[in-house]
Amino acid sequence: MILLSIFLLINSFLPGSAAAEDHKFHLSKCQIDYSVADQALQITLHIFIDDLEEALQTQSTDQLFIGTFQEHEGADQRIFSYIQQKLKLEVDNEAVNYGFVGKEVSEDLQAVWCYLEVTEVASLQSLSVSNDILMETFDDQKNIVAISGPNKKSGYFLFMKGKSSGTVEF
Amino acid sequence: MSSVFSTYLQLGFDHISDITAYDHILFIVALCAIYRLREWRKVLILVTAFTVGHSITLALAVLDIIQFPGDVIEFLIPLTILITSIYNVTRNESLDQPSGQTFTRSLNINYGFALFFGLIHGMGFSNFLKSTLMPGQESELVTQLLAFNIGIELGQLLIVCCILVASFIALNPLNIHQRDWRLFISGATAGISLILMLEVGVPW
Repeated sequence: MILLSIFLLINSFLPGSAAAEDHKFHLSKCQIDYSVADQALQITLHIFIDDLEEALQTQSTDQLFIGTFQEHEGADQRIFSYIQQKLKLEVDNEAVNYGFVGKEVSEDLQAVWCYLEVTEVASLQSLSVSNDILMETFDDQKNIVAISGPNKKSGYFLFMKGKSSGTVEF
Repeated sequence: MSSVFSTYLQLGFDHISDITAYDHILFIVALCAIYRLREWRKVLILVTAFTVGHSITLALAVLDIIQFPGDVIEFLIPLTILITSIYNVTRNESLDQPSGQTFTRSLNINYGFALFFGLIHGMGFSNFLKSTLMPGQESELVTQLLAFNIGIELGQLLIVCCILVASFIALNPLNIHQRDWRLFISGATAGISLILMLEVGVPW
């Protein structure tokens, strides 16, 4: 009881805790689906906004205010060019480019969903993915990549510093 | 290494053994602080009770059957460490005499505590596991849950081994009294758990 009172006393002097709101881990998620009908690779990427802001600030002095009403007008372009530097795909051993379809803020306001697409993928025998998003900013960054390819075959990767690429054969 | 199973096995292992997010490690240290290496069977039973507890809430929370606010859990986890540490120093010392029995009355109480506290830690695990899931992967959920849980178990066993070996070294070559060792470890875990609680802040 005494211990609890002391605790409550000390606690009342501390500033409101922002720490509880933060996510404690550095993690991004990426889902890559092959659509036979569209002959396209559809990519969904989930990145925490505060981590992304931190990484982008090392490349420029502007703060982007991603997902807020005062978002920088060049934010989408900056995010896309950052993703292009970090997420690289090869279809059947040939590098492919993807386009930026759009982005939206996640329900809990902590992250952005980015949508990317590789078009004109007529056949897919193998897919190589290299994803070192945020690894230059956080040593403990982990990136999950889930791939769902043709013939219901799938691949799953957990990338971290020093091991950020892999290949799935279909 | 490119399957759902191996990915979630590693995520589970890394999550519990992550030294920068040491709250679960600290709880296991506090739980094991009163045991000698030769009492490893008792420790195994205790850790199993903890596992049963956190497996239940992990599964229920990930399947969205129960929900609990994350900040409350973040506060309750260090509280479980503090209570375990205080229990370690206030418990009846006569119970420390080796009785030869695997089950004693005090172990039964510990077993209940470990199970109950496991329920709280499982909610913490679920917050992390949920944040790794993507929409459209619902069919993989059972595999993800199972692999993550096994990963946690393996990490937990590693932590238990470390603390029991540390206690063996302290009690034998270094000749520290069991009681002193218990107070030393419990004091450390109590102090750190208080700091964690202050950092998180009372959520109500």
